[in-house]
Amino acid sequence: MIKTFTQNLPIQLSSQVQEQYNALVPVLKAYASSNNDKYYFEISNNYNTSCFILGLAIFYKSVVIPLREANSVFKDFQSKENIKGIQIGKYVFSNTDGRQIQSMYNELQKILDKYHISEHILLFSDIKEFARNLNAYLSNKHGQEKNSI
Amino acid sequence: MVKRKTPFKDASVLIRDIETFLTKHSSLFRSQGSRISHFFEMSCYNYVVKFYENSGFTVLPKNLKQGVFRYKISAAGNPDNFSHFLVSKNVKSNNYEFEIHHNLSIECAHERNIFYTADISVIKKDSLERIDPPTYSVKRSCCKSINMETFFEVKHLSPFPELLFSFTGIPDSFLTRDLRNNIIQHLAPSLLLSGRANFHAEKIKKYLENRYGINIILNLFGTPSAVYSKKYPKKKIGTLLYKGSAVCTRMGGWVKCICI
Repeated sequence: MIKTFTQNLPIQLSSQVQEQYNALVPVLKAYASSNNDKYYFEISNNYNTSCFILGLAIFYKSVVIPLREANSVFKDFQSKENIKGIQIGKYVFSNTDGRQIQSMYNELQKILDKYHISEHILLFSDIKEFARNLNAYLSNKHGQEKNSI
Repeated sequence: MVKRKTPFKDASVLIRDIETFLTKHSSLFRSQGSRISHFFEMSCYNYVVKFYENSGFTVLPKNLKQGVFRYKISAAGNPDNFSHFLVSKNVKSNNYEFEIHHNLSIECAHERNIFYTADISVIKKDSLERIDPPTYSVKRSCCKSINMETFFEVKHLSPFPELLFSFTGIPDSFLTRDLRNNIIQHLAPSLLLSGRANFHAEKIKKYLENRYGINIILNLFGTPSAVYSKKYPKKKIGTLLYKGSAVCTRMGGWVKCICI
């Protein structure tokens, strides 16, 4: 499932994302099969979707947010003495990069909004917190859909 | 227990939307992905600059090359070939000026010719030196500890005990704590992390901050303003009284620095 997120990443970053996912999935699986319905009922019932959202969360923290922040630095620097670009090694981060990142970020936010997935779920500190927040989200989502019928 | 249906009318719709998004922006992820850790370091550098802006300093980029800010991404290279920010503030007719550098070598406060490269360092203006230490086969630019106001270590990681505890040794060896006044206050040496703390890490953070007078600032992707906003209380350190070079002398088994 994590392949969806890693296939377009450079090898080093791809391995980092993959490793994080591989380390966390067994814990999520243990929660899902723990019969602790209070905290993990929805994860157990939606295990594949839960794994996908875990992959999304790792990708969001490791790739999307750093890109968003890079764009934010560029905008801040531009406001000081009209800095035209930031040279990182041989590469110059310019307006074009800023626009591409902004467009990517906006598009992802639209998707997250559509499914009511808040940043709070994606920016987790440990897997237990993620699992419980995700369970609450899935549970709430179910309620919302039931009410809308 | 009755099993409920999947919460999405069709979970595959979410997966399809995300896959379409990833395919559309694949070239961006491929091209920028290799710079992710530099981007995080750059963000933290920007937060530190913002701290001085918020504290009433005038901020000016220096050493731009044709309008481009050259960011130093490793310990190698001469800082003269890279850009930095100069921050200045007038207090009681005294003009205080500091330079904010990235990946700059700092000489130990207690022992000559041993160095550490701080991810971000705030030093007195024009205090960079080009030296030829026996430690290295080539000349090296560095700042002596006596001219370094404060520094920051940046890690794109979640906090874990070994990382938090190991940071405390760096200020001990590289920060000159004596001979400072409180007219201008800098952030105390800080460890800046992208990850969020769990309960244990939060306890360690509080303990280390109180014991060593340092800052451990976490969850920078969630709350970047934790570095620069006055809303978040942080440990501070005064400014060094003199700009000078340090002479290290051994006194009674302890190494002590004297400013000349």
